[in-house]
Amino acid sequence: MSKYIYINGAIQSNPTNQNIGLVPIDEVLDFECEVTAVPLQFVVYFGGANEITSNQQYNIQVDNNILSDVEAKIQFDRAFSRTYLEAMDGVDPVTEFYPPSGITVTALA
Amino acid sequence: MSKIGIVRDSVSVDKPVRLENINKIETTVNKIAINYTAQVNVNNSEVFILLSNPAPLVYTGAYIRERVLKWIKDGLASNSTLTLNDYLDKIVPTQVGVIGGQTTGQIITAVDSTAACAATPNIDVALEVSGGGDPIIGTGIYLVNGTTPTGPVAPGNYALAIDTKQYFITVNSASNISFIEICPLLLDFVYNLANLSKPINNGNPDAIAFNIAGGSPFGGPGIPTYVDYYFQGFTPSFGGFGFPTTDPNDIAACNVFGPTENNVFGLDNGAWPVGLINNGTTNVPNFAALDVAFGVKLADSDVANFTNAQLYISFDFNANGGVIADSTFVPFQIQFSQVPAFTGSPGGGIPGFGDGTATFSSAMGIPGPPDAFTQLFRNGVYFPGGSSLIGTANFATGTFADFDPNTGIVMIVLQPACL
Repeated sequence: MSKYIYINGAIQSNPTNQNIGLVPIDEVLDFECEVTAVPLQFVVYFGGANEITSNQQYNIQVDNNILSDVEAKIQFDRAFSRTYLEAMDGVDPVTEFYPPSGITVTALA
Repeated sequence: MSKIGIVRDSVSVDKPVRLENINKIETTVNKIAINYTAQVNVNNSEVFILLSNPAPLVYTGAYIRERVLKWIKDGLASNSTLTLNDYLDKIVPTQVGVIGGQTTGQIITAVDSTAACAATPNIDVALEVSGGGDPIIGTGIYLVNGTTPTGPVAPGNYALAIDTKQYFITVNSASNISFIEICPLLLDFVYNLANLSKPINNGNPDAIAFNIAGGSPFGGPGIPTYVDYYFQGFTPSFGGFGFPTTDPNDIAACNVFGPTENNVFGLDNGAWPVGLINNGTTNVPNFAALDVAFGVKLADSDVANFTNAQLYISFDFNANGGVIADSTFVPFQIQFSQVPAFTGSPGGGIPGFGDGTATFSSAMGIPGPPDAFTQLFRNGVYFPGGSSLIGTANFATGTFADFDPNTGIVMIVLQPACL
């Protein structure tokens, strides 16, 4: 059975939340917020046996009144890790991911 | 559902690592590389785990390999998700995952900011940052061979060089940057075009000269070539009609076989800006009213050699009283179709070079081709003699060299004793 993480754009309580993308968790090799000129992107890497690595890049907007870019990177990575492990252990085909407070996922680049 | 294990990185993020379909595992005292594709390549489904190893003689690569294999074996047999950290005793994983966007640079240990900014880093590293800009606190940094990680950077203070910029950084035990300070740009030479007026003679310390393609840009009607723009009605010193020499070779430019009118300061030289100021017949700019200066940072400020020197350009040197530290110098790097050609350029190009735009367009407002600067700047450059502003390097004569307009770096010195 395929399982997915649905990436939502804003925190769970946001009434205008939108689904930005879906991550097939069986194919995940790695995930990480990366510092770029954007300045932050959350990148999910996919790969496997005899495969070239591919990725999804999500643009991230940080409210620096709430947290710095470095704090945002750590909190986002930890939050996604929790969701990923929850999805791996659970039986639901879809697990929702919501970014931490102060971080918005704006687009799948 | 595929089996995974967990590796907890230095900031307590639990990273998943797939335990199935592994093709190859490579371990050293500072690194675990797991390949899911037989052909090893950074882009071929490869996961790195960099390790802070407190006792490499005890925790050898063979020991680490044995522990990784046991973790995989246990993980495949267990109903739980097992964590590699629990198998590694006092070894601490610092960075985990696929190598994504990275920027390469060099480091060397430095006791303080002053030492760091004067140092010449030579140990290859990569930083987990891409897209330009300065690294921020929290950026991961690791040792590399080429672009392949070889291990974390030991905690301490370092000079860090990335492209033309240098920093003083502190790296923490997690191989992340915990402090960063941008070094001020230290230039060995500044050539202030505001000091250039006709006649410019040999010995003028500001007389930098660039070889130019006289027949470029080829922009069509209304877009004059360099020669058309500056040398209408030019009469060669030997009489008759002709054009100035805008792209002299080093033999001619430096009087190697005896005096020639094509030399840097000669009557038939049309290179920019010296030849133009001395011999131009139309549109000759008054650099005293413009603000253009070039800078050079030698590869070693104590060695009189321009090889690998970096060229810079500034548009506010005079506005800041001729103080380098208060001015903005950016690398003199010409990129195809880049507008502005240089950060801080008031007109997009260089004041006093064509109409000051990035396309050398005419006063009629007809834009030149996007690659005008790429066409115009050739490799030849003349540096007048002088002494380094920051080191002991001294040039008794001028130097004629080839530089790469794309990087602004001097590739080879053709005549170390030129005029």
